[in-house]
Amino acid sequence: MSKKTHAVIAMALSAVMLLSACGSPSSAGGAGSGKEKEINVAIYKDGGFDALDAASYNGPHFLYKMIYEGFTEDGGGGSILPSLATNWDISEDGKTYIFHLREGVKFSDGTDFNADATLFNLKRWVNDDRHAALSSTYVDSMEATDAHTVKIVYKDASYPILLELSYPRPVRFLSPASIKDEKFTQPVGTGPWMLESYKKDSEFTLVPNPYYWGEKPKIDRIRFKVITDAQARVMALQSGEVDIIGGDLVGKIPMESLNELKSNSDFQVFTKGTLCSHFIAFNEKTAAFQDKNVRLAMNYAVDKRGIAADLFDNNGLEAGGMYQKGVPYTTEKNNYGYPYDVDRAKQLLEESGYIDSDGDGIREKGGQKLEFKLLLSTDEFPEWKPLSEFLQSEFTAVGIKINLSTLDKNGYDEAATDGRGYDIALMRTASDSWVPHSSLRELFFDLAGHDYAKVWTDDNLKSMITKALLTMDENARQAQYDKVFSYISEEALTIPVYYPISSFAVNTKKVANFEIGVNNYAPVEWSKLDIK
Amino acid sequence: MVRNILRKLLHNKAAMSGLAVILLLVFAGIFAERISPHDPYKVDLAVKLLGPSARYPLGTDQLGRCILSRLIYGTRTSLYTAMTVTLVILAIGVPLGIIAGYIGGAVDNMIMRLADIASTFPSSLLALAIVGIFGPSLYNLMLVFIFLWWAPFARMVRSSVIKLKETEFVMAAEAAGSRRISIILKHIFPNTLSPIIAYATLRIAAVIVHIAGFSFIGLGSQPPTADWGVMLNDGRQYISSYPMLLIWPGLMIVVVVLAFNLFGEGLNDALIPSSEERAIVKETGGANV
Repeated sequence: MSKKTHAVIAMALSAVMLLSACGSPSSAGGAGSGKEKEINVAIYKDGGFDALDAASYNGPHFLYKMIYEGFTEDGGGGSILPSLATNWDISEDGKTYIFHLREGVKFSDGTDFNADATLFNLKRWVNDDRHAALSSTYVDSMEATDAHTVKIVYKDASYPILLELSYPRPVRFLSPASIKDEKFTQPVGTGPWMLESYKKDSEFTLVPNPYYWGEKPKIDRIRFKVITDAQARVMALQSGEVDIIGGDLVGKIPMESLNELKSNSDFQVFTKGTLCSHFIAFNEKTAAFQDKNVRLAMNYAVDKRGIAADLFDNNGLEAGGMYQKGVPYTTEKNNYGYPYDVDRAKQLLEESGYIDSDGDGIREKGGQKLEFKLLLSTDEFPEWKPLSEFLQSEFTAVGIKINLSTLDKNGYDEAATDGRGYDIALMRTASDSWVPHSSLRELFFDLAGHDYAKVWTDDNLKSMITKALLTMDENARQAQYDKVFSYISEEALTIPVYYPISSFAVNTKKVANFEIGVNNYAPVEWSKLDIK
Repeated sequence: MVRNILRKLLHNKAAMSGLAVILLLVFAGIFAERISPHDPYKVDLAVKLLGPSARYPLGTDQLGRCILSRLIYGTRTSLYTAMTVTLVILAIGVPLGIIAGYIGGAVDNMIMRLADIASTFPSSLLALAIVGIFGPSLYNLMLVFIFLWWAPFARMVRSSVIKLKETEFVMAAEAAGSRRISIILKHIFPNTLSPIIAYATLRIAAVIVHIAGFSFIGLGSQPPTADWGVMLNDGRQYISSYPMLLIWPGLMIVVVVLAFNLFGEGLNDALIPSSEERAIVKETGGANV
């Protein structure tokens, strides 16, 4: 977007604010009340505001949640809270949803949020295969029954619909005024924060939305500074350039700095478990991985306890199954991993005919060496660097050679979804309200525009997942999910590596009321933050 | 003549200490298997990030690998690549320079324009482009430096050949009807060597710094290769908690580059009588290219 448009919008905004000054609620602190309360936060990548359309997947998740709101909100622990919908009715057959919208809500540009704005947004994302990971995208019909009531009829009754409507994207509401000639111009939502300034790849500031209907933020501005290097983020905190670092999706703290920060009294470290798991995906196009023994052997070859306890100094949890304990519908029985057993790994490879016949330490069969390219990026998870080198040595021990392919985040995303740039890849599952249903769809359903899935393409698995999603009876659904998870575990479709713990380090001399948010996508209770 | 040069060199303490370090490192590289206390690739998380001890003289890194062993094997990587690159550059640059200088005319013109292209190309940019296209690897990087860095050698050789062509002994040989090839081999080539040797020694230092630099940003040697640049990169995350992980490989790079520079300059002083020519080599040959 050009600077000119920025200026025009800014002028229009200030004109609107001036005109409505008497009627509108004033922003926290207000003008002329002395020093502004500002908090600086390090973020690992650009905010992507030039394309932060509510119905897109462009910037970091949590920014969508700060700026836009949806019908519902994730209350944590499986609870769903009302947000822009104050309440809703669901028909007997589970297909028709009637949402009663909150009245008197305005977008941060001063325009009204109502049934028309809702339909305007819904039309932009329903029935679009880009959102195939969601059940709630397949809509039969929708209409505004009055100015504050919307009725949606879904094609299928699917149990996670309300949950999906709480997601940060793409089911949130953008001001219709932000779309000009079918093109996105400005990120304007009804959420507690709005964009004040944006310098691509450098920094951006968010300020409270003066029209926000709920509890207002206590500070006047959050300044996000883009610092891609993890070690540089730690130094920025130590030098006072930023006040908060951390968070899996904001700017991870390197494991080795975490212990150091914990022992420094200037900062306080906050940690919270996640429902995410980090795992290795196999590229099914690599012939060797069609052999289950190879996949199994590679599972046995990895010392999961060593990774969590020794490599990460217990700043991560030992991996078991593909999903963590606590992810809905997983049980000890259906979701399991394989123990560390080098002899078993070697034996499996030998059973499949992989033998090191030329003495170079790498096993081969029919001239095909067990040599794989491991794709990873250390931008989002700096600990993947030592992890990848450790994995390299683990696989070498059983006669499998690994070459590392470390790309930046964009290159990694491209290679990972393209499905061609690697043999094995370090990946993570989604977390919180995304697991297991959306995560399963994301990883095992065909990628948009491709005829293969991100992690493993298997028609049998796909139909089992679909059945589980469409089963409305709780017990029958558990039985379906048992089949899904057992299949993934039994077939060793991935190598679970470790379960991360989310952590933040905060300059508590300056920042008050820091609280980790309910999930990964709301990493911090931004509105509660205050200055000491 | 040779005795004179040797005497000059032997009296240059800086050059001699440089040579001693180089010899020591070459020795370490050749006998790495024998003198390393451990396997440089042996990962053992139980002993990670240890301080110096009798078992691990310089301690261990984040994966429990012996730092001293990795430094010793790193010598092999650094010296091997730098010397290979320099030898190949010589093998390309020297013959091209002689041909250009001796034959002259259109051939000279063509070779020198190629040299212009090679020397105006920013090496780091080309390296980034090549690595971007063919993926990060040490061999790709070596190719880039070979592709670009032959040019100054060709230029230097060419200018001394042009001067030599006018000397009486070459003219005499020509008048006596000697074959061109034997004139080149007998009379011209030996006389171009002095500045080249000094310059090549300085160039080795430059290659080491460049390769280490690219390995440091992840575009050269790939983990887990024992390479000083890779070790620096690995240690980067521990800069405040375990600074020695960075200091050791950094120190090695400094020492080896200093050694090659000292020895190269000593050679330069001993081999080249004219102070004017010496200055040319010093200016263009240093590691800070």
